[in-house]
Amino acid sequence: MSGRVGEALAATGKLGFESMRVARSQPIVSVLVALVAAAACLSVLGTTGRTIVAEQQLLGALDESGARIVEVRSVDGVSAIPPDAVQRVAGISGVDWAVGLGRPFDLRPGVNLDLRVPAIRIVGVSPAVVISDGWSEPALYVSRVSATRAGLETGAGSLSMSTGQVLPVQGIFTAAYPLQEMNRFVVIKDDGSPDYLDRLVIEAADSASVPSVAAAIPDALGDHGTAGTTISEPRALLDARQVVEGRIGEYGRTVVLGVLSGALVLCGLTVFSGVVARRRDFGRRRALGATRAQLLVLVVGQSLWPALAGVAVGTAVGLAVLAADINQLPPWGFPAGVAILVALAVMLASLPPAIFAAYRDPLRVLRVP
Amino acid sequence: MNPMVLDVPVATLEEITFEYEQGKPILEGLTAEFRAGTMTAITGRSGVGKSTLLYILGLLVRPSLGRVRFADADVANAPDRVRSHLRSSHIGFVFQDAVLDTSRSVVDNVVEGAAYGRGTRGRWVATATALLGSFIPDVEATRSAAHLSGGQAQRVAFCRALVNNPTVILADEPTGNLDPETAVHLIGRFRQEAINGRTVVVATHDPWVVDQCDEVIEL
Repeated sequence: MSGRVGEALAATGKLGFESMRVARSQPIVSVLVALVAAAACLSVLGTTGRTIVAEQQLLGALDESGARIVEVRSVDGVSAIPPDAVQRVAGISGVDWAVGLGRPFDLRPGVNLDLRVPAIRIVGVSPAVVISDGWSEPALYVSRVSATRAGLETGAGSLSMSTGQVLPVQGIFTAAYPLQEMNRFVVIKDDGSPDYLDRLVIEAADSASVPSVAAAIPDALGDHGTAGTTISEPRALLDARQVVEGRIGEYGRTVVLGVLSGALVLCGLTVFSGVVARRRDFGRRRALGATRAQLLVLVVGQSLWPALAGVAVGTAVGLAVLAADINQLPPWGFPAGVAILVALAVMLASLPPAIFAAYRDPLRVLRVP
Repeated sequence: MNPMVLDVPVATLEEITFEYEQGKPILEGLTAEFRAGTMTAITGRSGVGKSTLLYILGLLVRPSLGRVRFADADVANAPDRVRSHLRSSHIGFVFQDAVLDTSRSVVDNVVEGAAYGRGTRGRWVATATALLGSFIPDVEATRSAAHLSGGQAQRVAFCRALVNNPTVILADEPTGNLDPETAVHLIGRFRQEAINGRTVVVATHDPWVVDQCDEVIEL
């Protein structure tokens, strides 16, 4: 068995090298095929590639505007979000992070009984909230805004709760989107209180996961999950995202199809002219023992080598132009996909000439009239 | 009689009929045997089917009717893979013009069949180099085939036909494009290969070539 596989591999290798020699021996055909392949890659990257970069930027902006954010709010007066639900929600597949927020309440600086500083309880961890010295639980943290308001600019001191309990300030935090509103507050990091939370803010890994994440939330909340909460998905943003993807995707497909069709026709004609010009070669190859299948592989391989060279050059130049022009590259899957599609198009284009070469009557092409 | 002639035929054509157009056969009910150590001429006027018969024997063309036996197996309707393997390992072709690939070197032309046959290219190159050294010592193996004279090209084609150590050599008007001196030299080589035990079949309309053969099939 392994002997047969070895023989088959050796035969394929010999045929591969032979097709490379044939490609070298027909420089005009090879250069034309390489040029068409390079031009196809270059034009797809220059048009659709540029559009895809723009699409990525637009989708990124939509995501930054909340297309990945799901919010759960408890209905007024209903205790529906237990603190331990935060961890369960964070564990839902497709969730990047989840934090729970309590109802805002007031704290007082010990020295000024008339001053009130709004505070909020936070459960869970989000990269949107950065603590200067790292989280230490449970503890009190002030933002730049709330620190100024409470006269605690140094990040040291203490604040009193309405119950008279005094809490020391552990450090300073900075909150960013989508939790930037927390900058108005003093934050009490997970104090272990069993009190129900007022709100959950969840970021999905990507916008496509939002519906499934939203659907899984009620189960993660527990008994009161469905009745006591409202779950808000960024529907308008998701719709806008879909429209952007649909329109740009359609445009991209049209351009790619057009370019590939052009490459298909040009490569097909080029390879066919090469086959016709050297039809006696194929008769000779048949006489030397080539099967029809081997001739097919030979002609397709003969086009594939220059196509691969053209694809490599076209892709490299296309990416370099994009980088120089708009200073950003499309995701690597796009140029790789274009390269594979162009190589496949060239292979497909060389099939009809290959079949023509393989099925020519050797008697007609070899005999001298 | 050549001492290498064997009683068992290497190849046999039985009741061969061939027609390009239905009802207009150019070969009809032809039977012939080809033995090792013999040189056979297929002769007749132009268009009578000499080349067609040669190509049927060389498994490049399938007969409309009849059997083509190689080592007693009928391969007239065998799969392309089987017929191609037989061509690659047992048959050597020489055409009227050399049909060399002028974009390649002399030795690359001789070993072209290595891409489709068994054995490593290196082994084929070693055999080809020895053959070229023996038959055309005045031509470097690495020289481009584009720079060969007609006689040199035909001798390279002869080496190409021998490189796979075939049992049968088929030649289609091999002297048609050669000057008399080169033609005599080439036919002498064919004669020698027959003496060495190969089966040589030559399609020709040249009476002198016919005279050099052991057997004649007149169409």
